[in-house]
Amino acid sequence: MKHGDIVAKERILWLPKGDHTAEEYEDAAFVSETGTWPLRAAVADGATESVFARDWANRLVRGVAQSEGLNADSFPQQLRDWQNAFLQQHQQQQPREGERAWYAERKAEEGAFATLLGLTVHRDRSWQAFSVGDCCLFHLRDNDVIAAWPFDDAEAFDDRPALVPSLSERDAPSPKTHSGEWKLHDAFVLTTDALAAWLLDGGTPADLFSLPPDTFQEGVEAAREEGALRDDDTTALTLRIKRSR
Amino acid sequence: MPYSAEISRSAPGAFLFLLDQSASMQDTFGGAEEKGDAAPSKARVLADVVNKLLQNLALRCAKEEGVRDYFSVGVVGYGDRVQPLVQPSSEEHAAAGDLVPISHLAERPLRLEERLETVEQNGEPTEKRVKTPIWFEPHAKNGTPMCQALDFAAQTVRRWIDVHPEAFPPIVVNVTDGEATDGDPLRQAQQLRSFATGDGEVLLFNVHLSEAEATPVELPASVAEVPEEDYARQLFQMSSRLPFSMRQAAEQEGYEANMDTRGFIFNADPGALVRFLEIGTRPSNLR
Repeated sequence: MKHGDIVAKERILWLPKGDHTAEEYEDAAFVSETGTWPLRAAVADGATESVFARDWANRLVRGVAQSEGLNADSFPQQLRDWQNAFLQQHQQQQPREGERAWYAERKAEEGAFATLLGLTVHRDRSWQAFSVGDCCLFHLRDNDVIAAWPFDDAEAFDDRPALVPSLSERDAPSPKTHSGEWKLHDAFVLTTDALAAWLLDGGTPADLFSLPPDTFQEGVEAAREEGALRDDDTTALTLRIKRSR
Repeated sequence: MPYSAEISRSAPGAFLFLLDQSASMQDTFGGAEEKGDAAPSKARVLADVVNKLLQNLALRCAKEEGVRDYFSVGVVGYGDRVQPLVQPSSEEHAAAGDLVPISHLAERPLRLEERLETVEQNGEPTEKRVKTPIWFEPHAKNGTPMCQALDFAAQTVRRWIDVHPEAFPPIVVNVTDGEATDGDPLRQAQQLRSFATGDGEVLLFNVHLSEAEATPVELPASVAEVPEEDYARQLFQMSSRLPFSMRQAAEQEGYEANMDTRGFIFNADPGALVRFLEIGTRPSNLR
């Protein structure tokens, strides 16, 4: 991606929970590819105990990355659009009510849920983030973390985060918002909860920019084995803002 | 830290329910809203409670492709005799320790009942017909061989632990009106709780359904909180203390929990006892 003389370089690192397949991975990450400012990125974590959590997480990150002027005020309306699109897509794909197993019917009535973190980086050196739940944003300068948000403590995570529902009749939590300013060569890391807790407990987010994917996978698996990293879907989206060569 | 093993399909959470089916369960339940002759029997309440617990366990594991086996479940009735009420559906699972993968239960309820339930639609409470799975009917006959049932449970969890030596330890939930007729169950309870995986000792939780109309008690930390009547205090003594991870989950649900909090419920909804075992991110409205 090129923005005049400044480019943002992104990468996405991910690994499903230990005994899950790639098809069962329920996190999602997405970066806008518009080629114009602002740059938008998002990660989401589908809730294990809901159905179609993976699809909903993917719908949300794409929604964030493709939305103009998304902020806490416009979020409720944007969410309704995403919910309607998701509902239509799934009504077409699903067996009719009455033809489903009892548990499938119950779960369909509950809908899908996911946490969501979105980041918008503007050309004027400002950035804004919004969050529902426990995904985490790290802002790095000279490879040091200068801000971690909305959590800066590894003990803050539990299994009941705020979640974005796929059904409009469910109450949607209000997003938390945050903002800051970036400098050339700053970097951002957006992660889902398990990796965030690990990074806040002595990890070095800067390593994520240089690790080959295989090494990331080996590191995650080793940390899970030691019990240092919770065995959960693990995702990092990294962005570094630099001058083009 | 003990009791921190992740629940997965290769290391599932194990629940073994022991159900008192003795003749005294025909008597009325003191914790019901209805009083006197209108009150349901303890056997009816037990069947409703356990059917609901199993339904909730299955729903927690239900995904778009079917029910994932995050839990293994056993159900043992004790009354005229001690007997498993759900059977492994194949030799393969019998060898894995007699507990049944939750997907097998989900696919094979005894029957489905249509019930009217109040659900929220567009912010309004609305009555809706929902399919409700029933695995057990009320049953009440003969004595209360609780000691035998606890022995049976010990053998079952031992076999399960042999196959899953590092998993979260099995949780045994004993639902009873409290009076053992074959001895003092405290010793058998201690023996059952002494079996362990690498992650911790077996947890024994007790649910006391009493005729007494005493105030319901959930997760007490001291015997003084437990009614003196019936066998409530003995069941409290038999119950395991909640491990750290479950105390955290209890606090998130608004319970007060400390190091002495025990998995004991008197005349109240025991759903919390199985909710506290986490398998992953859970929407707070899914209980």
